[in-house]
Amino acid sequence: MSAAGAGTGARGVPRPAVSRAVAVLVLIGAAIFVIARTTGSGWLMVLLSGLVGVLAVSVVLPPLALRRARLEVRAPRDATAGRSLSVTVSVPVRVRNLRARLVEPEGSWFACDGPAEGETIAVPARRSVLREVAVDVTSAWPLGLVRWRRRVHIPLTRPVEVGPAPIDTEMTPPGARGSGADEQSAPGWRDGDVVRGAREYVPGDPVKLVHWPATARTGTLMVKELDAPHRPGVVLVVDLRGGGAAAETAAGRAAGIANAALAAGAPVTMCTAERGGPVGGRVDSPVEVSRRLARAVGGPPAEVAVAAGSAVVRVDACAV
Amino acid sequence: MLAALKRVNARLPAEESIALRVAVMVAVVVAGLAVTGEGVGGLALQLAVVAGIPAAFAFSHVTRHRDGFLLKAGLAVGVMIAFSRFLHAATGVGGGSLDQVQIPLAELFLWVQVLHSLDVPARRDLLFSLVSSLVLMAVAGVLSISLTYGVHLLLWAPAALAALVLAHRSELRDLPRLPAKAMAARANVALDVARPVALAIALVALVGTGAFLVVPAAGAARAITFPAELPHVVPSVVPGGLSNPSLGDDDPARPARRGRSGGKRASFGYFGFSTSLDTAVRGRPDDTLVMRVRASAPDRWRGQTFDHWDGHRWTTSPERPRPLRGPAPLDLPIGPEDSLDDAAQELVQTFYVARPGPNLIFGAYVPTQLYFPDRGVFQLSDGTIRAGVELQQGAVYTVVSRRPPVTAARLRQSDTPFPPPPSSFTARYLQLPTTPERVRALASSVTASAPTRYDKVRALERWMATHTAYSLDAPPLPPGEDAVDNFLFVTRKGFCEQIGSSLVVMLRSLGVPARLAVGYAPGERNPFTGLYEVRASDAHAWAEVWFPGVGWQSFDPTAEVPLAGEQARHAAGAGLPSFVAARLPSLPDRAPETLVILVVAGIALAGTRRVRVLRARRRAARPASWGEAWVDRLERAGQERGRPRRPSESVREYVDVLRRAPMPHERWGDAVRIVEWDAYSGEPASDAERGAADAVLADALSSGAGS
Repeated sequence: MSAAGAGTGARGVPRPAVSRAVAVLVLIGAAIFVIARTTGSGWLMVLLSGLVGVLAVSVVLPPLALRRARLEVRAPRDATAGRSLSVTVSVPVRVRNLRARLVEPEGSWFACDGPAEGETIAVPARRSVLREVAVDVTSAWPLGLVRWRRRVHIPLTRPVEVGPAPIDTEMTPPGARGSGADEQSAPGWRDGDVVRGAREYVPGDPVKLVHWPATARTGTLMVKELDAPHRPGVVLVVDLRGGGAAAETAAGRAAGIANAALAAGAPVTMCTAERGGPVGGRVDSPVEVSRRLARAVGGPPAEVAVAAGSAVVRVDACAV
Repeated sequence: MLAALKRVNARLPAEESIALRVAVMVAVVVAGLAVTGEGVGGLALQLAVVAGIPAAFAFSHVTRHRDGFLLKAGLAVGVMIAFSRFLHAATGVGGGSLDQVQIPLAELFLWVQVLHSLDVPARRDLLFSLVSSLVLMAVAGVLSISLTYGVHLLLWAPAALAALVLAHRSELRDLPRLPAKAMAARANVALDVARPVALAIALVALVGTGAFLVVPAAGAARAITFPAELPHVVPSVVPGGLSNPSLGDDDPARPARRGRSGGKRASFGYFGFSTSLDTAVRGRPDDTLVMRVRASAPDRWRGQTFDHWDGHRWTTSPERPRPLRGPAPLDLPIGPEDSLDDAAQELVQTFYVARPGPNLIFGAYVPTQLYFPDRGVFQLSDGTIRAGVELQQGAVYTVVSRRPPVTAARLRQSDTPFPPPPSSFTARYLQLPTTPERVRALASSVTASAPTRYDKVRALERWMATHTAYSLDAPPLPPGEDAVDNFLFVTRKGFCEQIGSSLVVMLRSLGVPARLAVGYAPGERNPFTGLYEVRASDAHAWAEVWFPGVGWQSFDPTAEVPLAGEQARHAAGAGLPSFVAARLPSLPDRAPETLVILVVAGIALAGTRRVRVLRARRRAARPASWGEAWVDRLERAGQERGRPRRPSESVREYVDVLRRAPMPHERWGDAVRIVEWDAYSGEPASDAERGAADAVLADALSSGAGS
């Protein structure tokens, strides 16, 4: 679990759901009433009154139990659409026989007797930024005849960024050895052996970096400072305008391309549009790729300067 | 439809909760006992209920995972056999009464339930059995006329509620469960079930009692048929004659029972149910329950009337009772003086005889139909009915009466000119022997300002209520004295026979046709059974006054029974508090003080418990100290790595275990020292020390993460 978003539920309006058993009991109650009125059996009226009591208790107590129920949810910061997300649900109060289920993202029913805490699995249906989690809480306590349901929306202190499921894509990064085309466009790899300067030795510096001429010259143990290796990158332009399933597919493809490029060691610059406007910048890991694509919306992607030798890959929802 | 049938019959997951199975089994057995307790089935069915159902439930639990095709086939055969037995019994019931079918039907249903108990593998099957037990309880409720059913209900209801609670828990057990926190994990499972069950029982009882006090009383509508049963058919000695074995030697039929002594009068025998009523006779029947009456409204259950008064004794004019024969229901002719129109209200009364008594068919005025198991009864000219058989314990019959919707206003209007009654009628019901003049003068003076016949009756009733007293210790009537004169002017104390006789005599002296009726007062209504429980002491005599265009109307200075048209509808639970209070044991002398002590002790106990709960909550709500949080993280980490902390272990001992494996760290000792210092020295550890201890724990956690 990376960063966690947590929150406590706001109360929704409880709604009852009548079970078949209640319908059967009501029918039997009606029959008992009719028979009692025709046969004059007083005991049937006693039985009927008891049934009324059972139904009243079944209707009244569950919403009271629901009123007491309080939920807390912790979710990881990152998630992938269509894949399981482990959400920690906590019921800090003493309440019995609750049944709950995450609705957004969608999970399966689980039972709990509070106080309780544990993980439940939910599957975000699509790419999004979840700022709240919706949970259906139900109670039919104690008789199980009438089930009341309350939908609780729990705002998360840190949103869950649901990235697209990457679509596997074969991608040869520009400048990679063995890629003739890339070698043509790239000025060549530099392996980080260009000495930028020298500095004093610090314990822990590798011995092979000792700059002997400088050491001799200064009389102090000096080490080389090397330039970082330069590699031609991939500029990924993701245009999700058009929306719908095509946009989701495009996002998944973009994630696949970016991950493949990263896996091959190529720097990736991603250009997308977010709610605040076009965003362009480097992404260094699949997690960052996922987050950027989670936030991406339909709109003109950012335009960035393309370094020499870099490949520009456009993923367009309209072209999917 | 086939798909729907398959879906309904699809095999469901087996129910694993033994507690649920036991609760349902108890509910079904109790319901079965409630039904057999009402005389349904024989010894075989009783054994099947008591032993068969528990055995069947046990069998079903053992075989719950099996497919059970052969079992289902066997059950189908069993149900067919039970159904054929039902058909055989239903076609052979006596009298062809539909009412008699309910016993074989209940028997069939119970057999089906017994068979069904063999195949209840899933929760749905168990809940189906629970619903069946409810229906069985309803069947027993229809048949029951006593409080014995209440015992079964008191056993069945908790079992049924417990089954519902357990079924709900079991349903939730099918789902993945959020792990309970430590406090909840320690909770007692038995208490977890007992508490909601107890709460449900208490609330259902409370709400149910409230509902019982509100829902309308049972039995106002007309059914297809009514109960009528005669356990032993013993013909009367004299056809059409009156017999009353409870009077012993005074039984009017005794002379015809050649050579047989009647013995002593039974404690519940009433001397008024005879061919004559001597107002000088003393001694009242006791409180023996003589019959129960199922009726939607109270009334006087009239047995017979007397029309001839000789100054101290009432007799009936000699006549030959008219035999009435036919299948049930038997239509009863009404007399020429009875007036019934479409507005007459029907009152159905079923009489359950609890003690052998007279062969009088009791019923509210005017009886129009009779459901009686014997095909022959006899009717007298006053409309009263005598059975041709002796009415012994267990006899049941139903009388349908039509009561004119009489109100005070209607009775007042009845004085408007009507065709005069036949002279034979007036001669019969205005008959008086030589009556002392002061009785006539009193009647005239009391009713001087009463404009109508009804007002005259009410004026006389009021005068008697004011100037005379009801007493079972009235002085004996001196020989030769007129009973009415003696009561009105000498003793002014008497019981219903003297009071009723005085009203009849005074009315006759005013020219108002009247007669003395005997029967039973309505009795106490049992709010649970809905039946009026008539005791021997409810035997009663009252006056009947004839109103043109209305017919005979009862008046009774000693018992308040509202007029038929003025009776209010009452709730099923009407009279519940007084009924229960009368049956509670009387409180001891120091009851108030004891009650106060008990209440104070209860409040103190509840208060102490509440304080403990609040303290525990406050403790739980208090934010954990740094040391507690550190230990908590340590314990959770140890638990995740398969070595939870034992209750007897100190933190140091626990760390010693963890440092060997699975969380080695060389600075554990320093960290524990800091935690112990923080907790026990009285001075908190410095931030730097806490940071060091936290770092040790974090290091250990990360190093042991892969373990």
